[in-house]
Parts: sequence; structure tokens; C-alpha cells
Amino acid sequence: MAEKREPLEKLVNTRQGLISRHIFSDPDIYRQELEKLFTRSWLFLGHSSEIPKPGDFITNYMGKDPVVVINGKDGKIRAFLNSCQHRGMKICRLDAGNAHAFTCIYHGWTYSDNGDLVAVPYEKTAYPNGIDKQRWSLLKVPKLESYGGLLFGNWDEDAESLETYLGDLRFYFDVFLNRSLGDLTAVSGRQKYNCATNWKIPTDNFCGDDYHVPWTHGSYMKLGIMENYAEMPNYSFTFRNGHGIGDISLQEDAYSTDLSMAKELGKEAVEYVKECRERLLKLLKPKQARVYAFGHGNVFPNFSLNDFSALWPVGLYQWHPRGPEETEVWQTCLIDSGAPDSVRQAALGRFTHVQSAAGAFGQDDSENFEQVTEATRGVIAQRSQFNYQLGLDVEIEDEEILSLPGIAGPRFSEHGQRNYYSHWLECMRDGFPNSKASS
Amino acid sequence: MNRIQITPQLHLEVEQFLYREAALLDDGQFEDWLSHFTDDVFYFVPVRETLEDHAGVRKLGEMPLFMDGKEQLQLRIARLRTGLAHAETPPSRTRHNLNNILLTPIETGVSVRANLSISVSRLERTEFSLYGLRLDELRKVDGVWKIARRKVVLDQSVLPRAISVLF
Repeated sequence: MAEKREPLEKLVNTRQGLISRHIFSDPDIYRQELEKLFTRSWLFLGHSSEIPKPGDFITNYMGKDPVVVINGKDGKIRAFLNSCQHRGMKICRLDAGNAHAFTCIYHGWTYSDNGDLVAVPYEKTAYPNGIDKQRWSLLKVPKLESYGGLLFGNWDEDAESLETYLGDLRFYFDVFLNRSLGDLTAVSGRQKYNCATNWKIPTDNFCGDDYHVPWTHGSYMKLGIMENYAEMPNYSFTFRNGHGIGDISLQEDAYSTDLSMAKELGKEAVEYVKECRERLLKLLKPKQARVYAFGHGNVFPNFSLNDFSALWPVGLYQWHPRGPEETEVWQTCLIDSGAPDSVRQAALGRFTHVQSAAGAFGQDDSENFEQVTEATRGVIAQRSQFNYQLGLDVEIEDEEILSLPGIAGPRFSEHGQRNYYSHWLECMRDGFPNSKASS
Repeated sequence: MNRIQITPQLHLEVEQFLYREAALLDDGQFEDWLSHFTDDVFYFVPVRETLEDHAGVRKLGEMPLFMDGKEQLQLRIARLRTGLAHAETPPSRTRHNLNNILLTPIETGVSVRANLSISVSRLERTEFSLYGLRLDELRKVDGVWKIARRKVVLDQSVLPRAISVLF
């Protein structure tokens, strides 16, 4: 039997950048996370382009709860617990499709696209005293909102709005949301793979870990595919609610890289990149347009993104908790429908080669995440802490960077992770600070 | 154009060719392995899902795991040789097994359908297998068989782990 665990405040000391290894393997903490974080945070459900037509649906998970997300006949998108209210069978066993209604295969209860229980087999014989069909409709995710087509759901009826939840992060999301010439459209299908790690190990990495890039992904620097990363004039930013992003620059280096990459693809790619930039300059504030792209980011708790540039897809990653030391990675990506075919094709190819199930970054990150977990569960290991002190008390002086939304930190900093775990602690200890229902 | 005759001799020849190619992967001889492909090879691994309308195999243009030409395969191998491809340094131990091999003549040569299973053992306890259908199109270049097109349709929808091995 393990020693009695210290209170959470003792385990997570973000002021000193020291975090106990317990929180990455303890089954009790994991169970509390599912209860406290995953029932009250805004969780990514999918992209609206995955369900463009009435009746289109996709399935996903919110924490451990399976959900089905449906574009209704009335054009409204709703999400429901993917479980029959009779005896719990999944009402939908497909990853995606189109349906008018969902009939449970167990006893045949049938639900409409708005979740109503519309048919119960042998109703008069089976329930001679009647059944209150309204009472047994599908359990609806009470809040479902979209930001630029990114659909999020929240089980907490009193949660603040998605826009407020994302806060200043929207300033950076607006860059990729406005850069495309056509619609940002999800590539159909999702890559899914297991990773034997705690779900926070990858999410805190996406939140602000630029420091690992030259080492973990050193193969790409050695091959000359990636520039000298450490020399880039980039910054990382943190936000309220534990969100974080990295690779922010105002030097337009991502744009210059795009131009030289585009030259290899041909004239129409060069034109495309120029037009994307023009669009940003026209639609956004000058400083915002100069951001051009951000490298990576995480929306608390477990939704990560990549936006390297106009020639890359926007990568969308979910780190589904599957146990204290098990994570299921789901990923897809968005590509501009207005990009020339050559750009779209190359973008998808690049995605498969890099931050992807069979990509260089996906592979090498997984190796880290799994072996960190392997070396963290032991008795002696659990008595020591992880060091998140990088960039502690380092101040940014660049006035222009400081004027950008969010709290700026150096490129190599763990302030993103410290911010992530302060919010984690707040939610785990006090309930959700920004829900109206929190006491 | 005369299509090739499927004879016991051809079966033996093609099977031996594919077994040797698989052995090169298991032995980590990736450069030799790549020489078994034509310069215009298309190496495609679509994502497998549970869908109603077809076998759940995502089409070209939808989400793939691999969509490589020779140059991209070369890049994967060059990366493995940097000494910094941590997911394969030290390398995983693999067995590429092929069975249920069926040959069909096609205009350019022969197409081969086979069941593929790969067992992977890595470091101490990382163990998993990948399995599915492999469809190859083989063509003779200067009298030697080469793989001009390879499509691997894995049966797994949720992969047991990120894929750092080739197949």
C-alpha cells in the first residue's frame, strides 16, 4: 500500500516549478480528473466540416464518456451521450456517417436526431402502464458552441461561454481562421493510436514545450529540414484557464519560410502564400497579421493544435484519457479548400511525415511520453519531482511582444506548463473557478 | 498487350522476391529494401475506420497514415540513419510475415494480394502487432521485379502505438 498521499497543493508547486510525479500515475488523482476536469471544461468534439449535411454525425469521447455529435435536420448541431437510456448500449457504433434516427440494437429503442426517444418496440405490451418517453430521451451535452468551426461541448450547464473560456487565445486562432482563402475543411478520417502514458504528459508538451524540439526532433535538424530552432526569435504565451501556445514571432520568419517552401512547389503555391498574407493584412490588425502562424498550443485540458504556416494543415489533436497510464491519441487536420491542389496535396503529405501517427514527431514524442511513464511509477521515482523551472522569473523586455495578448515568455520556458498546472490545481481543488455554479 | 501467365515458377519467383524484401526490413537493411521499389512508386497506407458505406478504408485524398513517393521513403530512411530517430534508436525488433499470397496478372506486370502481419518488440515490454491486407503492383525494370505501387490496409482502427516501422 502506498504511503498516504500529500494534499494536491503540496504535489503541485507552480511558484517554484516543482511537480510531484504522483499526478502522472495515481489512479485516485486520475479518477478525480475525470470527475472534476472532464465534466466541466470545454472539450473538443470535432470540426463543423466533418458533418456538413443534415443527418451527418461523428462520434467522439468527452473524457471517458462516448458522445455522438449530430447535424440535425433543423441544421442545429447537438451532442449526446452515446448510450441508450434504457440499458446503456451504444446507440451508434460507427466513427462517422449519416442517419435520420438512431436505433439501439439491444432492445430497439429509437432516438431522433434531436435526441428524443421516438419509438419503443411493442410499447403497449411491454409498458402497459405507459412510458414517459420525454424522460428517457438521450442525455444531451447541455452546452455546444463553435469557434470558427471548431466544435466544443461542455457538460456544465453553468460554464462560461466558449469565447470567454478561450479568451485571448482567440487572437492567435483568428490568424489561421482568417488566413485561408476558402474554407478550412477537415480531411475525412481520423488517425488514432495508443500511447502508454498519462494524458497530461503530451498535453503539457503541446502547451509550451519548445525546449524539447531540438533534441527530441533533432533528426530533422540534422537532415537540414528544420532550421536552427534555438536561434529563432520566438516567444511563448500563456492564457487564463491554463491554455498555452508557442512559436510566436513578429519577424514574419514563418512567412519567409513559406515563400521558400512555396518556390519548390511552383508559381501557384508562391501566389497562394502571398495571397494568404495579403488577406491577413487586410482583415487583421497589423501586429496580428505579422504573427502569421503559431507553432503549437493546447486548450485546457486535452485539445492541442499545430499551425506551422499556410503550407501546413492545421493539426488537431485530442489526448483521450484511457487510464492513469494510458492515452488514446486522435488526430485530424484542416486544409484550406481555397488552396491550389499542389499545396493541399503537399500539406497532407507533410502532415503524415511530421506530427502524425507514423510521422517523425509523432513517433519520437511517443517514445518520450511512454518511457517517461515507465520511469515515473516506481517508489523512489514517486518521491522525487519533475523540474518545471525553465524560464522561472525570466522577464521579457521586447515592448512589442509584451503588447500582444496573453502573458509572454521566452521561447525556452516552462511558464506554459506552470500556467497549465496552476489551473489544473485550481480546478481539482476548488471546482471550476470560472463556472457560475462554483462556490 | 499480352498479360503474364501465372505459373508455379512465377509464384515461386514473386514469393521469394517478397520474402527477401521483408527480410531486409527485419534486418534493418533499409537502403537495400528501398532498391526493391520503382522510382515512381506510390506507397499508400490509408486510415481504417468503422463506417457504413464501405470497408471503412479512407480513400486517396482523405486521411492517410502514409502517402509517400520514393523521395519521401528515402527521407524516412535517412532519418532512421541520423542516430537521432529516437523511436527507432535503438531499433525495434520486427518480424514481417506474409501469407495467403494471390497473384493476378495486370497490364504492367503482376499484382499481389497478401495478408501481412508484423510483430514488433521494442526495448523491454513494448510489444504489439500490426496486421492487414497488402496490395502490391510489381513490374519488371531491366529484367528485375520492382514494386511500383504498395497499398497497406491495416485492420486496426485504433493503432496499438505510433508507427515507427516500415512495411
